Amino acid sequence: MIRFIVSRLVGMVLVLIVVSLITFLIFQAVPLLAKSSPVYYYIGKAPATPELLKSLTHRFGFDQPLPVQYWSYLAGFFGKNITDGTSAAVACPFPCFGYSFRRNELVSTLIGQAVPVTISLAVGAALLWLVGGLLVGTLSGLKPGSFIDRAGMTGALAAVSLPIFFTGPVALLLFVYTLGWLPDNDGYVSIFTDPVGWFTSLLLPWLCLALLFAALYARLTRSNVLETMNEDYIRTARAKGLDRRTIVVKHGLRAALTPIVTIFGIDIGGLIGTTIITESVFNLRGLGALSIQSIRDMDLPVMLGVTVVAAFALVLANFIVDLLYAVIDPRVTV
Amino acid sequence: MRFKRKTLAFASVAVVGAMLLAGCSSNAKSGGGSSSAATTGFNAAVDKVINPSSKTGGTLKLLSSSDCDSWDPARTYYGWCLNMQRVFSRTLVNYSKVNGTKFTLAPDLATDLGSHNADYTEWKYTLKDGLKYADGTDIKAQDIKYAIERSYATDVITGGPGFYFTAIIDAPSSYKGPYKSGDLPSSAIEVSGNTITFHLKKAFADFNYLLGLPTSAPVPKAKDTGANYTKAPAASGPFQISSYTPTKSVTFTRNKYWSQSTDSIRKPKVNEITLTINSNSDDIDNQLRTGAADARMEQAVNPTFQSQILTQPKLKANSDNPAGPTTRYTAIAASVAPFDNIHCRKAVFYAWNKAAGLAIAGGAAAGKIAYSATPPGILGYDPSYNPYPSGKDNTGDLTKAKAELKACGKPNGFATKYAYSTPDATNGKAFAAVKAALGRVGITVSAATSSASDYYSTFVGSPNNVKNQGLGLIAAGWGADFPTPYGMFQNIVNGNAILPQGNSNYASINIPEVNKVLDDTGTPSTQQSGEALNHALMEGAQFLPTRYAADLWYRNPRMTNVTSNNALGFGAYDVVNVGVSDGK
Repeated sequence: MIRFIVSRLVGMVLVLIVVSLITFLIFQAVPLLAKSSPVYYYIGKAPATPELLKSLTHRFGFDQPLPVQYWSYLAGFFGKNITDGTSAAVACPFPCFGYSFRRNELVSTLIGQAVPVTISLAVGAALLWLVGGLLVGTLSGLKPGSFIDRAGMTGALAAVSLPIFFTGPVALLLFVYTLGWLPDNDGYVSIFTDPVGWFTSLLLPWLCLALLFAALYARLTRSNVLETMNEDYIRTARAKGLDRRTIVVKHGLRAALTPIVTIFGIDIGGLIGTTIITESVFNLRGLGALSIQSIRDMDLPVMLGVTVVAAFALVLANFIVDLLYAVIDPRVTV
Repeated sequence: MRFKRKTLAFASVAVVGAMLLAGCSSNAKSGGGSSSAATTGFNAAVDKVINPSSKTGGTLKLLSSSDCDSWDPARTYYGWCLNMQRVFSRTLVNYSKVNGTKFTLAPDLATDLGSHNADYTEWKYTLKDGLKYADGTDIKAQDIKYAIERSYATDVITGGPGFYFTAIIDAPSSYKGPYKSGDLPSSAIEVSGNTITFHLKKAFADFNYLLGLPTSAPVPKAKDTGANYTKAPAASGPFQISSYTPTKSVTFTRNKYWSQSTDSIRKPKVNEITLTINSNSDDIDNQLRTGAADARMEQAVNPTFQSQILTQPKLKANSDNPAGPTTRYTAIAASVAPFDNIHCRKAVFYAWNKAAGLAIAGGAAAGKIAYSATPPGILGYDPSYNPYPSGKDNTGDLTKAKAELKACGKPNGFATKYAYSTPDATNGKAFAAVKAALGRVGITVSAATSSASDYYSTFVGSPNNVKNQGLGLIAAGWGADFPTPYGMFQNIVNGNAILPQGNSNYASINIPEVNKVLDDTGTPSTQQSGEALNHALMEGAQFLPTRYAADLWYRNPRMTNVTSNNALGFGAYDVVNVGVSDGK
C-alpha cells in the first residue's frame, strides 16, 4: 500500500510539473511566438513606448532564455521578492503565485480570499449530489421499471437539462424573494464569523449545483447497479441465502461504486475554478469569479495562479480517488 | 443611469477622468446668459465663453468611444448624454449658465421659473407660444405630462433619473405608466391649456433642478415607440437627429421649426453636428490632435495625450481642466469591525496620504485634494473647512492617527480590506498607496476587488455583501446628478434611503443630522444648510474625501463660443452653441 501511495505521489508531482510547463508555455511562451509579449498581459495593455516595453521585459525576466524563465517560474513558487507597481519591494512567500500588477496585490492573497468560498461551495454541493444521486440511482437500479425508477429517472433527466443560470435565479426568486425562507445574504458569509449565515448563504448554491450533478450520478449509479445486480456472483450470493441488505450493500454497491468514485474525483477537482456560473448567479466570489475577472482584466499572473491551483485541485482529487479506489478495490494496489 | 453615472465617476479616478457622468445642462452662452467672453488659452473656457463669434454654418465634428446609454430623454443617465440631449431636447427650465462653479437656471419651454405654493408641494408652469417639434407639430403641455408618465413604466423606460420624479409626484401607488395604466390623474399632474401643474406628495423646493433633467423633455404620445423611442426621439431643440446608426454614428441637423425667439438659452451656429463613435480611444485623441475632429464627448483625453497637452504649450492653450461637482472618496463601513468604533475610522482619516492619491490619479490635472465632502459647485462647499488635517503636505498626520488607534483600543493597528474595481490599473496603484500609508501606523490593508461591471451593483452596492466580505474601506466617487446638496448627497449618504441592493450609500452611512438636512426638501438649499450637512457628514468619519475630481478636455481651436459644462457635464464642452470659425 505504501508503495502504491508513493508511486501515486510521484506521479502527482510529475503531473503538476507537466501542468506547470504547459501553463508556462501557453501563457508566457506562446505570446513570444505570436511576436507579442507577455508584458502586455502582465500590465494589461501595451506599454506606452518601446523603451518601456524593453524595460518591463527585462524587469519581468522575459528577455531570458525560455528554460531559464521556466526555472525562475518554478523556483519562484517557493518564494521571492517582487517589485510592485509602485516600485516598492514586496515579499512573496510560499506558495508564491506571482503578483497582480493590475491590482497591486499578491496573487496568493487573492486566491486565499477565493479558495474558502469555492471549497465551501464544491464540498457542500458534492456531498449533496453524492448522497442524492446514489440514493435515487440505487433505488432505481434495484427496482427497474418501478414508479420510483421512472420518477427518479424522469426527474434526473429534467434536472440535468436545467442549467444553473436558470435554476439559480428561479430558486432565489422562490425561496428568498417570494417565500422568504432564506435570507438575502447576497454573497458568501464566512463560516468562522457566522456558521449559520454560512450555511444559509450556500444552501441554494449547493442545491442548484448538486441538482445538476446528482442527476448524472443517479443515472450512472442506476446503470451500474443494474449491471452489477445481474452479475453471476450476485446470483451466487442470493443462492447462498445471504440477506438482501448484505447483497446490495456489500456486494452490489461496492462494485457499482467503483466507477462513480472515479468520476467523483474528477468532478469535484474540476469544480475548483470552474463554478463560474454558480458563483455569478449567487454573487459568490470564489476561484471561478476570480478567473473570469482576471480574463476580463487581461491579468495574466492571476490567470496563471488560478490555473495552477485548479490543476492542483484536480490532481489532488484524483490522488485521493486513487487511494479510495485502493480501499474499494484492493486489486489496483497490486 | 444612476449606476452608470457612479461607475463612470469611479472610472475617472484615472487621470483620464474617464467618463463623465453628469449631465445635462445648458449653456454657457454665446450670446445669452453667461459670463463674459474671453480669449483662448489654458483653462479659458472653464468659466467663460471663449472665441466669441456670430459666424454661422459648417459642421461640428464630435467623437466618442461609445454610444449613449440611450437617446431617449427619459432613459439616458450618462453625463455626456445628458449634455448631448441639450442639442435636441428642451425642458421647462434649463441652465442658462453651466460654467464655473455657480450655475443659473432659466426658463426654457416655460415662460418663467414657475410658481409654487407656500409649502412647495405644487408647481405651476406656462408654456411659451410658438413651440414646435421638428415635424412642425405643436409642443403641448400634455406632452410634458406624458413624458413624466413614461418614467412610471419602469418595465419599458429603464435607466434614467426618472426615479427623482416618481418619488415625489403625488401619483397613485398603483400607477404603472401610460402603457399599462393610461393617463396619470390630474391630482398628480394637471394640464389646462398651455399650463401644467405638478402636485407633489413631498415638498420639494429645488423642483426646478429636477425639471432641468431631460426626463421632462416633451414626448408626443403619437411618436412614442416605447423602448424603441431611442431610435427616433422627437426634437424640441434647435437640432434633430436626422440619422442614427447605433454604436456607429449620429447626425444632427437643424430643426427648421425651432425658433430663436422662443429660446433664450441656446444660440446654435453650425448647420450640422456629427457624432462618430470610434472604439479606438487613442485614435480619437489623435484626431483631436491633428484637428480632424473638434471635441470628444464621452470622456476626457487619455493619459498619453494628456501628458502631451500638459508639456506642449501650443496644445495646452487649447485645453481646459475644469472641476465639476464631483468628489472622490473612500467610504468606511461601520458594519465592519473595528470600524464600528469612530476612533478607528478617525485613525484612517489621519493616516491617509491624500497627496500620494492625487499623484497617482494624475497630479494637479486630476483635481485637487479634498478636505471635506462637499465639492465646488455645491452649496456648502467651504475650502477652509478641514476637520482632519493631515499635515502641511497632506501625506498624513501619524501622531494623531496613532492617538486615535490608541483611543479605539487597537494601538498596534488592525487588518482590513480596501475594495476597488478592476481592470483600471490606476485603482490598483491607489490601493498600493493606501496600503503603504495605513501600514505606517500598523493598519494592514488587503485588496478586495471586483470587475467594474458589478462593483457598484453587487459588490459594494449590497450592504450585506459589504458586511459579509469585510469591506472596511470602499473606493468610490460621485458626481452630482444636479448641482444641489440633494443632487449630490441624497443617494450616497442619506441613511433613510439605504437599499438592500444597488445601494449607493456604500458604507450605509446613517447620521441623523445628515438625514435631516437631506429629508428637509421643503426648504430651499442654502450655503448654511449645505455646510450643516457637510460638517455632520465629516464628523461621522465615514466619508473620507480624497479629491475633487477634474478632467482635461481638448478643444479644436476652430471652435467658437466654447465653454465647459460643469453643472452637469463634468467639464465637457457645452456643444449646442458652438460654431466653427472656418465655416466648414
